[in-house]
Amino acid sequence: MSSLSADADAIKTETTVPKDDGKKTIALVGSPNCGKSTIFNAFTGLSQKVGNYPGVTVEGKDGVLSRGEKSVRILDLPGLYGFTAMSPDEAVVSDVLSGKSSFEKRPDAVLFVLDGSALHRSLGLLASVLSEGLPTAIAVTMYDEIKTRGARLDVEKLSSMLGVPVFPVIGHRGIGIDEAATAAIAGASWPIPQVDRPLKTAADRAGWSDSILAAVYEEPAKDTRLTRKIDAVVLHPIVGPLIFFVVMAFLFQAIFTWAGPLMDLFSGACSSFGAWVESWSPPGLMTQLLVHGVIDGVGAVVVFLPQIMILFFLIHLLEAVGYMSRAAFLADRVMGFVGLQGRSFVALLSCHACAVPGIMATRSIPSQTDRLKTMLVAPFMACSARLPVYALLIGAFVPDLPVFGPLRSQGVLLLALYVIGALTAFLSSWVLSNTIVKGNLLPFYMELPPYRWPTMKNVFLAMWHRVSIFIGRAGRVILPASILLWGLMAFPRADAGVSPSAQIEQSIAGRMGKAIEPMFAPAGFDWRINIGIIASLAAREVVVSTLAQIYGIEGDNEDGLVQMLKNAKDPKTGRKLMDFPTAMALIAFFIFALQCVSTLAIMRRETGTWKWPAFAFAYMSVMAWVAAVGTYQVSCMFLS
Amino acid sequence: MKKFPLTLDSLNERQAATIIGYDEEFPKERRERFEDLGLLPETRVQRLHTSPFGDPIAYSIRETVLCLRREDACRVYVKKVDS
Repeated sequence: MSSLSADADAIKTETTVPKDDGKKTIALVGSPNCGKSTIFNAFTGLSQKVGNYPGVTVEGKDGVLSRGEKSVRILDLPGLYGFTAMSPDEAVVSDVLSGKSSFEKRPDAVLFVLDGSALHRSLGLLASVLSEGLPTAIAVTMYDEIKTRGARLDVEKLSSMLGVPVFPVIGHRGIGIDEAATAAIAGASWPIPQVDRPLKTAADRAGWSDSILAAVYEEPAKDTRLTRKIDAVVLHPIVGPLIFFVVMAFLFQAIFTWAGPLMDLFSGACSSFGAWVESWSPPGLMTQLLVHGVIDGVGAVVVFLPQIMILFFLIHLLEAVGYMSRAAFLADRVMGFVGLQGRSFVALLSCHACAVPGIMATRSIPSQTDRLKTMLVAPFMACSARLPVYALLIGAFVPDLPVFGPLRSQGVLLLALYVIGALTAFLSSWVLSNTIVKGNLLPFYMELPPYRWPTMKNVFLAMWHRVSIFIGRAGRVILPASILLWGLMAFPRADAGVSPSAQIEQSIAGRMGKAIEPMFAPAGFDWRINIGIIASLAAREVVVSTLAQIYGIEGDNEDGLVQMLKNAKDPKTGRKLMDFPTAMALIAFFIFALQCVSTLAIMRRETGTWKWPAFAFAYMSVMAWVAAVGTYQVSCMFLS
Repeated sequence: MKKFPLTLDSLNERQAATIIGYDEEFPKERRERFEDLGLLPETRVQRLHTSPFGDPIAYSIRETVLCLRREDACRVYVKKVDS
């Protein structure tokens, strides 16, 4: 594994090359939080597509703006602070604008989005963009905020000084959008700006911004911004963390509890549909494949949608309001100890529900190395798919004794499993930071944007992008993988009339389970449990239903399963199949193992390579094996 | 320059200052990024909020509020001015 020195090397990804359909391309350029998405969403609506630039995990969006017969392609470039091209985002923007990009043709014009709430800094960025020599126009966003703070911006004078058209815009009320859109249709004929002096260094650009602002902008000396007053409470040393915990508890509750009924509804609909198909189609292998391979596989994909939708709705809402960066500010020190950053907190918290949306949520982490580390440790967080496995094994094999006050041994152990998962994630991140994912070229910096009323269209579109990416990219891996896992258990076919457990025993999965028996024998796992582990790759909780099948028990109510696990005996020797040390070893295995194809698929999608999911799978499997063997051996020692 | 110049992280809450320069050993990439963010000589900054464990710290720089970690803020030299 190579050491990572530069951010740009950390993550690689797939290619999307736009088709050349003869439309002129207008690029939207601006800093983060400048209101660019509002303009992009207003221009293009649902015609937009999200893609990834090859070689980097930078997401680009493009869409079509139509006015009557005419239309142009709008390219939404990533938000950036400067053109020093030290991060993948900046390299992409810089390459595209200068025509050096090999996968995106040089745009025909630039619509620069000037943040009305951060004029000086935005002008500095504009200076770099102007020197690219493309036809340019400017949209001044947050135009209402300029007035709110009692300031005055002379738009006409700004336009004549820069020699390009300037459009004031109030995005959330839709004011000025139409004018800008109409002009953008003919964007290719915008004037090419002339800059009267070299603007090579940041100091040159700041001086240039000063000279422009001195001529066009007046601001009263007194600062009356509401944001400061809100921050006095939200970032207060005592009240701030309290608000933080309430918001995070709400977020957690939403994805953990509220998503549950919807997930049951989605997967219930899929299995009912499967049962309905099975009821009328001729019995045979094709029906089996359709119902248990394809339809169950689709179920395995759609079951994630409620959590993804709820989580990203809330994340984008909190981001739009301005709270997300405050939360990251409050959590940064704690996460920084183990080489992560404040924004990793929300992603890892989400992983308690499911690592899939959690890993998707890492996209808000600007540092590529911090993001990679967060993704590589995310699967340790005790996700909701582990809960049924833990609950069943603890319920069956751990005596329910009082420990302290109302605490009882079963509950304490379950809590301990969550704590162990989180601690392992932190420890692993610390180790990764000091070994293979070293250092950040860029400093940590984060803007606290002014609090704003959210634009719901932006929130819903952003949520929709996550959903479509999940279905389109991760679904493409999860569905075939589910079908493959079904195939492993269904082939080769046993003779007609044998029990399901006999079918599984002589299937490919059964043979694999027996083949790896020597490897897992020190953990007390026999081939039956090994099959359960192989099957659980589809989703961890599948180990329960698979064991039930192998042990030849019908029905899946909790009591039945607990009794089944306790009483299952080897039909030949009469020996108990599962005992306390084996159950503890199995729990230990599931704490660490990355036993989930969906997580691997989303990690592949988000890092752009199979290298990182393969690495995560390998190191977590080794840890899981060591933990299982250690737990089994120690438990046996104590019991003998 | 004095032997121990005042650094950005050592300002008191609400204290305003102007930037006078950077530690010469501060990596060039980081310095350039800070300059793009507006941390340039003669720019006025004010310390605003501090995260619960003392790090990071939020500063007001022109019209924006920027959070920096101590490890980077201690490389920026400043001179106190009246708030």
